[in-house]
Amino acid sequence: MQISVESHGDTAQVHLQGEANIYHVAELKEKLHLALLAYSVIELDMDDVIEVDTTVLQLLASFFMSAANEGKEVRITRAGAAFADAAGFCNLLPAFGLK
Amino acid sequence: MMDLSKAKDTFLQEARELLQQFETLLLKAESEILDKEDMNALFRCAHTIKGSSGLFGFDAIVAFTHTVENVLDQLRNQALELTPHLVSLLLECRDGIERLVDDAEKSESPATTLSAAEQALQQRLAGVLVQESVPEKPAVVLAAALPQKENRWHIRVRFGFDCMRNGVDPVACLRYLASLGEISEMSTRFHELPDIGAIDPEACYTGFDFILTSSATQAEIDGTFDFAREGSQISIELQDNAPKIKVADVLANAPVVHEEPVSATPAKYVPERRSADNRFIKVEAAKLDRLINLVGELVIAGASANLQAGRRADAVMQETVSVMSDLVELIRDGALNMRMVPVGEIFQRFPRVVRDVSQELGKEIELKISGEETELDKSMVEKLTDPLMHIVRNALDHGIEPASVRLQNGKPAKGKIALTAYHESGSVVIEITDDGGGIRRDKVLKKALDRGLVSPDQHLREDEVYQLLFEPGFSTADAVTNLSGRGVGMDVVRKNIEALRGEIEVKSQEGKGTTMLLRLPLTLAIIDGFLVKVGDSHFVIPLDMVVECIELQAEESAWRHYIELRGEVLPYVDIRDLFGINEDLPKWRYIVVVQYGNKRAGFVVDSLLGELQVVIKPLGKLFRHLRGLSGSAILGGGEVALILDVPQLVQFAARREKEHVTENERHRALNETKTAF
Repeated sequence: MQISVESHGDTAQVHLQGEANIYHVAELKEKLHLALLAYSVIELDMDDVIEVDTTVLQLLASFFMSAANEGKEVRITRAGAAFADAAGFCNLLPAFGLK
Repeated sequence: MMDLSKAKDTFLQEARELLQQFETLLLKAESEILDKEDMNALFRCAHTIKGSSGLFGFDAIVAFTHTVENVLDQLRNQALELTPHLVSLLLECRDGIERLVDDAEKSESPATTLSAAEQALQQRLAGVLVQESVPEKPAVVLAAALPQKENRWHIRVRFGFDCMRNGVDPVACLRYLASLGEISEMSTRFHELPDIGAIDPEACYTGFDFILTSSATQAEIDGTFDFAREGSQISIELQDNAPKIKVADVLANAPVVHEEPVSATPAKYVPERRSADNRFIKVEAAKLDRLINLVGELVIAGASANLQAGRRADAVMQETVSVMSDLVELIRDGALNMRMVPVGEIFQRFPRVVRDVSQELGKEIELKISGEETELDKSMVEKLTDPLMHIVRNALDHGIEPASVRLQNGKPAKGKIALTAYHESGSVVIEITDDGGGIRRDKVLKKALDRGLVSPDQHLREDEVYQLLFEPGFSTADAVTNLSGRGVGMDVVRKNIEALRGEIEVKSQEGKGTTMLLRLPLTLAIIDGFLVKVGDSHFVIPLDMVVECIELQAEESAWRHYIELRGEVLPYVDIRDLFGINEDLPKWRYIVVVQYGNKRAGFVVDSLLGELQVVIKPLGKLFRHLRGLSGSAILGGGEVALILDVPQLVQFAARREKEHVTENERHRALNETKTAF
């Protein structure tokens, strides 16, 4: 999985690509954690993700929760089929601000 | 690649252990009500066998066990009641599985045996269905064709903290579950989810709560979580509230059960992992044998070092060697101990035997087992099973009287059989006691006379009469009621026991019962010996049996065969005579007093050399038939010592003493008659 972070002023755009699973979740955690520390708005682009496992869903849930606790904003700009399917299966779309 | 044959061995062993556990639980169910944990254990046995059979492609086992498992599943969910009838049926099913497992072991490729095994299975199931009209199901193929009822299962699962690290993805697990039916009302729960800075991203904080609408059985659903079981909390509940189905209904209408799963009152199932697994390591028997062999060599080498050290007047050296000898002894005991298994391993088969045979005979018999923790050599356990089985069956069949006879004789209607094991002076004793009619001595004697086993003028002691039962040809198939059959195959029993260097003793009281006593050596490999010398030859006497040593004047030993020892007659055997040793006689000789069971005898030897450990080497084929010797051993100096067969020699001495005495009596009687005229 490739993770790229671009910043636009106060906003960080995080783009994920490839397999989002337990093999990359530690790296994803680091990047998301840093992003949350440095920016007040984080946008996630999941459109190019081809696989999502429980670790990633769980990490994102923690990420959304932490952001809310610190009064920061997290958005998923594009969910992508793989993520939408996994989140949908777990009935987590509303929790990620999707429908 | 994995070595499948080894894995298969493990499977076979595990399957047998599980079947044993299965049986034990079912037998327990006959006397008490099984609790939930027992029910779960019962289910797990079948479930595990099914699962691992599948791995090896033993489809016949899978198909058969599946049907058994379904019944157990309902029992566990309280949809069925465990009636005595059902217990019997399940016991039969257990035997069925065992046969299939045996089959799987014997046949090279399971694929070819599949059809034959399955045929037998189908026949058996059909037979069971007709005769018993039981809640049994035909093979799965059939069941699948039937319309199946869908159930709403409320499933709550919280996955274990480490499950994802162990390669289990909870979402993937649930997706598989979704393939069994339809998932609805999904709610994903994160438990104490840390914030992004603190989270361990590979740990699992996830749980789910949802409804599965599916025709799958609880077992199938539960099976989905097999890989995620560790540390997980899983609850599977049926949501329907249909009336409880009793076994009686099912019996009246067997096909009902096909509609899996039978609806039940809400039953929770929270499986727990067994923790006993970690307490034992399975070791290949051959490895252990190799180790014991090496320990044997070590013992010999140690004895040799001891000898060398003794010859040099080097105190430090001697002390070192002595410490080493102590350690070698400990290692020897430890190594031998690894081969020791509790005798309970044999005993646990008997509740079933007693139950089945007594039902067959229409007698009520209670089995009491004690001392099952007594240990003996593993190789002996295997060889003991058959003789013991024979003795117990005999006791059940011919020892215990029918209830009516018992009541007439003022005994309780319920017969009793006791299996007891204990250690006694270097041997293991197994007692089989029944409170039946006992052995009628006069009938045995008469029978022996008829068969020409004894001559009419022979005067036999009580125990000698009982030993006649073990004579080949003392078959009593057509014999007197009270004892009929007691002789059938008993000679084989004695042969088996003697092959283990053991012996059988019979005690019986007419009308009160019979006790058979099997006395066996603790181990077959290494013994503590007492080394003696006769002429230039070394002999070893097992130390456990040595009581004391006394001096004897050499000339005396030449013409007497017994002495008076503290008021008791002690017969003795001169080893010189026995083995034709003709070297010069020393002035003083010794009698080594030995005891075996309750008999004592003396062996006359030239000199006493003291204690040592010896590794028993069996005698070669040429010498197998020799009486009086049980094996050989190599001494530290390289000499060969012969191990005296104490039980045989004690018997020999006792017999000779008696002949001697009766001869004297005859002489005296003859003289008296002469003087009378």
